[in-house]
Amino acid sequence: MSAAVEPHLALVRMLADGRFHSGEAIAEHLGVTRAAVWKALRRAADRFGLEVESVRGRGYRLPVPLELLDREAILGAMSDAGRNAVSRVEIHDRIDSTNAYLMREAALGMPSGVACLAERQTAGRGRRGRVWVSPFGVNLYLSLLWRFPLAPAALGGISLAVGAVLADLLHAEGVADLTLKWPNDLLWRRRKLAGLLLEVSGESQGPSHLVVGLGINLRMQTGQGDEIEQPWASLEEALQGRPCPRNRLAGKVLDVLAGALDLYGREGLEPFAELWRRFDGLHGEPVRLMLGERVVCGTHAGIADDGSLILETGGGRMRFQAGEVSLRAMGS
Amino acid sequence: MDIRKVKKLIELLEQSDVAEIEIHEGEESVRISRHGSSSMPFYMPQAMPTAAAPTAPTVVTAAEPETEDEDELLGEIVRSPMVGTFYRAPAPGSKPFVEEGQSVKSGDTLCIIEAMKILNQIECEQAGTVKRILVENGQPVEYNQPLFVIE
Repeated sequence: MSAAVEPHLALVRMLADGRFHSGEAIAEHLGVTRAAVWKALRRAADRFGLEVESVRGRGYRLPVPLELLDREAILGAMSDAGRNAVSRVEIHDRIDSTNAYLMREAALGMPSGVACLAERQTAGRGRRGRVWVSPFGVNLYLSLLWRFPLAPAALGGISLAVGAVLADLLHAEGVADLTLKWPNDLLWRRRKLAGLLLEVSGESQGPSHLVVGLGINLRMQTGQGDEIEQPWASLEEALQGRPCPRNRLAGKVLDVLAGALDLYGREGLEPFAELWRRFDGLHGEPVRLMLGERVVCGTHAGIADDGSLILETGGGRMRFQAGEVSLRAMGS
Repeated sequence: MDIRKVKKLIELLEQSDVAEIEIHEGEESVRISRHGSSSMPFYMPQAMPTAAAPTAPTVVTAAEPETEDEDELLGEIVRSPMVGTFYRAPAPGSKPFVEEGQSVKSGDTLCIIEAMKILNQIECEQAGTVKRILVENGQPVEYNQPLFVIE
């Protein structure tokens, strides 16, 4: 049994259903003495950041059940086209960062289409050293490696393409009031619901490889999200009671990502531009763009064909490939 | 394919906003792009006119090192393949990818250029020594701007 290899994980898998399990049953399942059960529970709780409830006479349970990642369930939620395009689905119980892992492996020759998911990231990353808070079992941390014959400079529009298809997917799953903030922040009622991290490496004239990393807050609790430095929302909250099983969502996400990357490789941003504009939450609004130390104020005028941001400013119409957009109060 | 037809297509492309066109005729096909292998050029409006983004290799050998300022141009110049923000380290506060005087080999990451929120690892395409780093960390860079001198 795998319990000998990863006793804490075997324990978590046993308790994932949220039901009570007696100390005796756990001891038998793990192949340890009853006296060792409590210690193992404490260690598992510590290691995975889980709350374990114990009730005298009934046993132990997780007050919030977990749907652990399951390759078969993920593949089962995908279309035939998606299953063909994604060459492999790797599931890790813990990893430093799904993006960092695929970027390392890509440099060593890993083929296109490998997906990596993890129950927990120990060094989950956002852009530029920002931490992506990644507790065990409750969110989705997923990365996908894709190879292109194109030069890295030709891949910029992917940033918007993947934002658009993910917004469309979450909308189809029942999230109302979902918007995109240039180039690809997924917001629910102006709070961050999901984040993308895209990394590219390659030769200046191609070929190149891209890793798309996605973090979606599924049902992170307030305590777990305390370190997050901006307003955030969970998918559970945004769905307002509609169920969204984790493995099914992972399968659907891989489906739309693989489809988008394949189409972008053939046709560029053009097939995605209208979809992006449909979710554009700031069109026509007064915004501020932070560009390092420079601040540009203007009216958000949507996106150009190459995906760059257009602002109407006092100095005319300007296009930008970088910067942080924020809504500006009228008159400021 | 008739060369006159190709010429006509090039003229058409020049007169339009289209960056690239691909025509299939039977078993023949021709693809004409005004931006070399990159079908989606990145440029800032004040930096470069839309129609004329030249195709330039990232690594260009200084043409006549003897006549140039020796300190500036003796070696290979690594240029930015895109408009973006230049970062010398993987994250703020961490160790830079390379320092002046460091030897590098082909495939080593020299810097990150962030464009459209994509972090592009710029790789060294030739072994040598980093002689000069021409851009400060966190600064915006233009297409084709020299970033490093590698000797």
